[in-house]
Amino acid sequence: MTEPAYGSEPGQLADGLRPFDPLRAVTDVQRQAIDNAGNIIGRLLEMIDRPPTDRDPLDVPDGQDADGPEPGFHQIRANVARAIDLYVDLFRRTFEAYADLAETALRRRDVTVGGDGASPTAPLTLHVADGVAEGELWLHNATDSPIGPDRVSATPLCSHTGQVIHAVDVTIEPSTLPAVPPGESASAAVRVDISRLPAGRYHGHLLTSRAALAVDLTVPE
Amino acid sequence: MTATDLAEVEATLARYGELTRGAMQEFLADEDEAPYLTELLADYPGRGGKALRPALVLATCQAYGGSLREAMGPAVAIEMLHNAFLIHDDIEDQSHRRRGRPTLHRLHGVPLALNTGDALAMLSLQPLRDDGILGSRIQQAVLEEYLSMAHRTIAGQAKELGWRRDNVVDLGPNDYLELIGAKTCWYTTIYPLRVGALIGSRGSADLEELTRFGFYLGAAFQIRDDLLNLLGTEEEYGKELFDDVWEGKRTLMLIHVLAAAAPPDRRWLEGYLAKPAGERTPAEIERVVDLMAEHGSVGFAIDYGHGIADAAHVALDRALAGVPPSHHVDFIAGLVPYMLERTR
Repeated sequence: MTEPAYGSEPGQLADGLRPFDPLRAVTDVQRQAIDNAGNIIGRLLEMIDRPPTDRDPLDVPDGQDADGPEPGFHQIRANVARAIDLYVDLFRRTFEAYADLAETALRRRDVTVGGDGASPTAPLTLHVADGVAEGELWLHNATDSPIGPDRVSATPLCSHTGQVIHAVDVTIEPSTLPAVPPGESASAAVRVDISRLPAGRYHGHLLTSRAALAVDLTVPE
Repeated sequence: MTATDLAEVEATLARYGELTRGAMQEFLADEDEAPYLTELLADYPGRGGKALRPALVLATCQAYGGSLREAMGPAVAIEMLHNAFLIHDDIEDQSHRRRGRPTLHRLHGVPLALNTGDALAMLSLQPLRDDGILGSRIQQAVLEEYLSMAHRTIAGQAKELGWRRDNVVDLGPNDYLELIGAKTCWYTTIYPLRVGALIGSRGSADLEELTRFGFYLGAAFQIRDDLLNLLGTEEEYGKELFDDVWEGKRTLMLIHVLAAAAPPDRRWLEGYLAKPAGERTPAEIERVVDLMAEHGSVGFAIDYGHGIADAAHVALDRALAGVPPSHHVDFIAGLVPYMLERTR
């Protein structure tokens, strides 16, 4: 604790505070106040941690002279800083919006269909052997609730030469997938008798109520 | 300062106060109705008050070229925090009256009042959220200022409460200035000035000079507040007179009389301060006041306050050098003499 500056000891007043000399007392007390306050604020200012904005490149001292800047200069600088802040914020918000969208897409949890072992986006290629083309459709339930039962149907498979395999000639077993609990999958076998089909490459789709899967079938010569 | 000047400052304060309270009510109205809370939250803000802190935020922002809209969030935030502090102060000081009415804990009990103070303090952060008005850079800087201010204020309050609990009496004016610099100046004047300038100038203002001015202005405010507790009228002051003496608050007058009193009187004063507040009698309070009068402690504090105000005038000229003249600058300058002459 500091000693009171206005009395050399407790119980004793400095000369300036004696009641016989009020004018001088006022002057001394006021001077003391100014000195004390100047010391305290000096120490306070040394302790202040400058906020981040003080370190911002926009706040680099501009070399203003002792007389201070022109009255309008602060205003111009503030306006420029305001505009820059606006654009920075706009950029930041736009970036954040795209980042949110990308993250949402990455975390998307949905129902997908795919072939055995293939990625969900790859078409199902039917394997040909002994006059029969076969493959397997998988339905994956990545949602939090059960789905189905779900009927699976085929579109006509068409070749580039105009040949058509009608939907009724595509056998799907079972034609209705059972209910699939969350986090589980179900499959159906896909079979096409190609013994009497013209050679060529056929394309079509297998459809469920939630997703579609492209089908690729090559009938050899 | 003429009576007209004083009236002008008070009228400006009243205008800013009205704006701030309106905005504060909107913020509080957004909260869900909660029994035992909603009504209490609106109590102290609804009693009025000087609105010095939000007025300084708003005027300083506009002086630097900013708009009312930009500064309103931080202005509301500091007024909400101030009301939270008042509720807690009244409990800590066992005060009976605030702004002319019974204190919140007298009306509703300490637990509910404490909870209301907590709620106001936490809700005061709400107006500082990024609302797209300030931009993230300034918003972040304002939040940093707010958190720094809150820490310093609470630390200052802790020091004062500690002095009273441990009956610390070996104190001088420097100790007093350090105390009020923390517990009063930061949230009453320094933070409002710094944040107002930060927003209005978009971070280009010299905050160091404003801090210096804010310290002097806040010190003059607190000295006058201490004096009003002895010299004011209860009607205008809004609290009980001599409350500070009863609480043993380390005011400039008390520190002065402790140093100026003859050894037997000083020993008696120390004994008086060592007693729990509840055991201090009206006769003892009267004796403390008499000793202050006998030793010129009130006159000392008045003179000391004038010295601080002189320093504030000089600091103000440096702090606002380069800021274009405006009625906002005039208002801020008018606050210096106002601090010496205000009656409420």
